[in-house]
Amino acid sequence: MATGSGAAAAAADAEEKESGSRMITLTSNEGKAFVVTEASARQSATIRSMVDDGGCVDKGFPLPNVDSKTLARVIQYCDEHGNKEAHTVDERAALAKFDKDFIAELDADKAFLYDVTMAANYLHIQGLFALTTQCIADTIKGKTPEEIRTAFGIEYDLTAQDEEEIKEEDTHA
Amino acid sequence: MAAAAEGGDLFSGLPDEVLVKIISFLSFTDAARTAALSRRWQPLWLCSPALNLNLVCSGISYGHRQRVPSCPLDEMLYHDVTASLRAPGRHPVTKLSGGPGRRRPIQPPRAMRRTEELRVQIDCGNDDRSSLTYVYRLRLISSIPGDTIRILELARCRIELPPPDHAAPFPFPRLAVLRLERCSSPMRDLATLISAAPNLATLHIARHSFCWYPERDCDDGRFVLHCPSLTSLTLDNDITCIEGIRGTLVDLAMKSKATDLTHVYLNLQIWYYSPGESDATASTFWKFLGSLRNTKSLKLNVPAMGSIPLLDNGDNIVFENLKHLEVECDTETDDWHHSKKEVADLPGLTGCGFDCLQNHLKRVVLQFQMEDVNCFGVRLAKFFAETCKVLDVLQVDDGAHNFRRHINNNVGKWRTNASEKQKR
Repeated sequence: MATGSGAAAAAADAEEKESGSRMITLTSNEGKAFVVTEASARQSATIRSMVDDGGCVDKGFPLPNVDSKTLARVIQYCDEHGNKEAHTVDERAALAKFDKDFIAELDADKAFLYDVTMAANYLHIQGLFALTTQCIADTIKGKTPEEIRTAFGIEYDLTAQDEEEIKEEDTHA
Repeated sequence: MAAAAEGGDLFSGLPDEVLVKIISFLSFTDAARTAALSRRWQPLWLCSPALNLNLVCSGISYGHRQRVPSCPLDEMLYHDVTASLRAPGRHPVTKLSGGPGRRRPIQPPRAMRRTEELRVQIDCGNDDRSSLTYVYRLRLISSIPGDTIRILELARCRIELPPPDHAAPFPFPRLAVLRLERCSSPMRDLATLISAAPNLATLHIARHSFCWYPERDCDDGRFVLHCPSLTSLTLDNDITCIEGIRGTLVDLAMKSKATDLTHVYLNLQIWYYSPGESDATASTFWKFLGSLRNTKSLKLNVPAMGSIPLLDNGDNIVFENLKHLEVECDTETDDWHHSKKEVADLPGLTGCGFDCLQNHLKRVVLQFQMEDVNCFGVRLAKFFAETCKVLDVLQVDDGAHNFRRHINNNVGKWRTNASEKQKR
């Protein structure tokens, strides 16, 4: 890094300490750039560690595993959780309501729900990951294996021997 | 990934770690069933760090002396859980939740030695009597891996510690979150548990019953909290002594300064209860509130606050860091005018010092549910608007009445007037 940009980075650091609202660019695998606040981006442990390691904040972060549609939705979550305070009971309730509406909307489009889950996993956004996986778990809950296989198109590939083992275990249940 | 290509298997695109995470939300029986889905799923459920024993046990009896009727379903589940914990390929369980539904202590096998999160909830239907007697006796030291446990959430459990000579000085070094809902314990055992967790950050005690043993005469009716690392404190309603020690008052005290405290929610109906002891009660109340003076956010629901006399020594409580304040006043009393007079001079809050109001207080939430129309809300709002120099938000909610608009229209005016007065 040239001295000039080093100084600029130092100045940016100082500015960040002052205002605490640095902007960060995230780029989807389709090359589309999204500008978000640092507070929003820090919801992702992956980006957080890159920022803290002094990564190239100015150039932005390319996210080769995330498409634009998914990234936009993920950012919607991060904005809400990163930019808003959750100090009071009311503020926390508002955030909980956001989560509820957010996941209800995702739940209607399963394929998209899995895309967002993958992105949350890849970006290590703990809250979002828990939210989406919990939602998927809720759809499995109380179903028999046969029902789950049908609902999710899982191919039945257990051999007779596997089945025998499971049945063996099942006799206790 | 043939299935994915056919647009069939929705899960095939998700890596194992995601599937394990999904399994971790399932109950024990649902999780075990996933083993029968496919070869890929078969071993995964044993990798889940969570074990959720969600049992609803009906027909449980509450009395101390009565035995819980044997429940064959529980017996089988208990057997299965134990078997699964010993299964080859079992990953360590770090989260355990659910209620065994019986008084058998949890005997942690090897796989559970590293449990970090433990949630035990006994669902007994709607019978409130169960809050007064224990349903599941949790022998903490023997049941819980003290050196790894991080989150402990118990509902309707009885907490008992072994005799003091068995207790290590800090048996819960990592415990950060303790939530108790409708539990019961000897007062001293709970206090000891809390002080044994030096890193406790969140303490939530709701509808707790303190029980009292005649043979343990060391309980003096004082509940002393020692939690130096506390950031969030909730004491919610009905913290009472059963089998009574001199009435129902629990003498709350904070032993440590808890300098990191940011959230406090106190819902203390109990202060309303014993007017005869009002002086002792008042002293305890103000002292306890004073010990929480570092908090940034304070939510109070103390209906009889207006009738709690101030201490004579004139020591004001100064909340130097206070940023959010919510006060809930219960208005079930018909004589609103009576309580209005008492709340109007807000002994507790004006008593907390004008310095804090002027320099720190930024957010005020006032909620009124008034039967009769009067100008109290307006007065109170005016007081805050004029006094607080750095006020960002003054939120007034008065339900059906429409003071809000009236007040909001005036807030700006009051503030301008006040600052002009200041200049002169």
